[in-house]
Amino acid sequence: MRFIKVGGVKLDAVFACMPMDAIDNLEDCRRLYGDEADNIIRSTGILKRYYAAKGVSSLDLCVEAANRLFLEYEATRREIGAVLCVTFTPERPLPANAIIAQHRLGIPTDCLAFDINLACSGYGYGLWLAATIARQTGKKVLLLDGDVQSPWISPYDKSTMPVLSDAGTASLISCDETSDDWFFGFYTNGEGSEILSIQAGGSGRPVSTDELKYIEYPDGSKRRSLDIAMDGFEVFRFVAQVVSKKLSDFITLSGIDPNEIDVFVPHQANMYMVRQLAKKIGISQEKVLLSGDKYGNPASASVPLTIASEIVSRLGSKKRSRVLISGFGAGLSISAAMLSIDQEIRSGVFHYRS
Amino acid sequence: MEEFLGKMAEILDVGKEEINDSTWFRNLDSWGSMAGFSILIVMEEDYGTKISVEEFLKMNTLGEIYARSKRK
Repeated sequence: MRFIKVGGVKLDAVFACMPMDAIDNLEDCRRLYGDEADNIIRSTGILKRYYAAKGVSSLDLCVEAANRLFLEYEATRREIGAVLCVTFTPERPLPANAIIAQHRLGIPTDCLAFDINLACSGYGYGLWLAATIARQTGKKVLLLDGDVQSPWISPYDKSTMPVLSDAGTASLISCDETSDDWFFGFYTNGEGSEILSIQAGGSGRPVSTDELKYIEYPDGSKRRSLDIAMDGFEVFRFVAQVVSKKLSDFITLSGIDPNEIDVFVPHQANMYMVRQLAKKIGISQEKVLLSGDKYGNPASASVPLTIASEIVSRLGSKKRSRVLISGFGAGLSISAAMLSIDQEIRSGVFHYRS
Repeated sequence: MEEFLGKMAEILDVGKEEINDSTWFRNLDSWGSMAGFSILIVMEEDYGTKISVEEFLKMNTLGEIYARSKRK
């Protein structure tokens, strides 16, 4: 793990915007799996997923989350010095989501804005950049993180369809000299790039009519080369063998005893994998925040979504809590962060209205 | 075999006395693809035996899995 320390920053607010309508996962899985669908739901623990309505983009969901943040946190848009957006499904290839968001949100033009192209590991990267930029500029940073994966999810794919979801989030990071140090850890192994990927639609294989054909695979799945392809067992192996080891190393490097961690917010790959991971790194199940059961797995947005949805009920009477977050997936890529989160954090989840 | 059955019972969330080498693991209430993946990882890490997903899908009893183990 590449280990980095950033001091003097805090997380003011995290809000998430979900698409309007929930998909009943059991019903949808019956279509592909028949009677085995009950096994799938019991196995993954994902009861509901959300797909954005046609034409609603990752940017739309993130901008709505940010609008809600400005409304509820009462931060002024003039205080923002940078807009970042973690996404691999931008509204369009050009320009970046963060740039359009600056204009849509009425943020001053003397700001940095750019996207970060990462999937499930993305939030830790975004938070580290946001913290670093806040320290260097003295301004607040708006970190958007969201994906609308549904246009790239084949309805006939047995690996991706039962778990993946759409969501948009907004987090506000600012300087605070009284805050405890934050620690970050990063791991990258591009050798595993085929394990979770989209084969076509980039400059190597531009969109053409050939890429729109559904191809059948040995497990009975059908998908286009434009769709997300996931080798479920290899992802499972990565989490069980590599992520657990790297996270344990990260906790050791941070010098914090696992018992001192108040809350663990893992990427919501699926509920089984997340519980197994917590067990392996020695964090008790009651400290693990889960949202994937009701929202599915929306890639990198799953960590901020889980914070937005669950953190307030867990901070209790403690003024400042020690929070471990971790994202892991396509790359292969891992991020981890040891944060301190104050009781005053503002958060919430709401649904998109067009 | 005893140690193997103990590990399988833990993954499959059943009592050790409820399973034996002729148990059809896919018929257990707690069966699911994640339990299957966990079994493959245990076979690799604790028994030094790599079993592919394709091969595993053809197996039905715990005895069939154990028969593939290189460390007995």
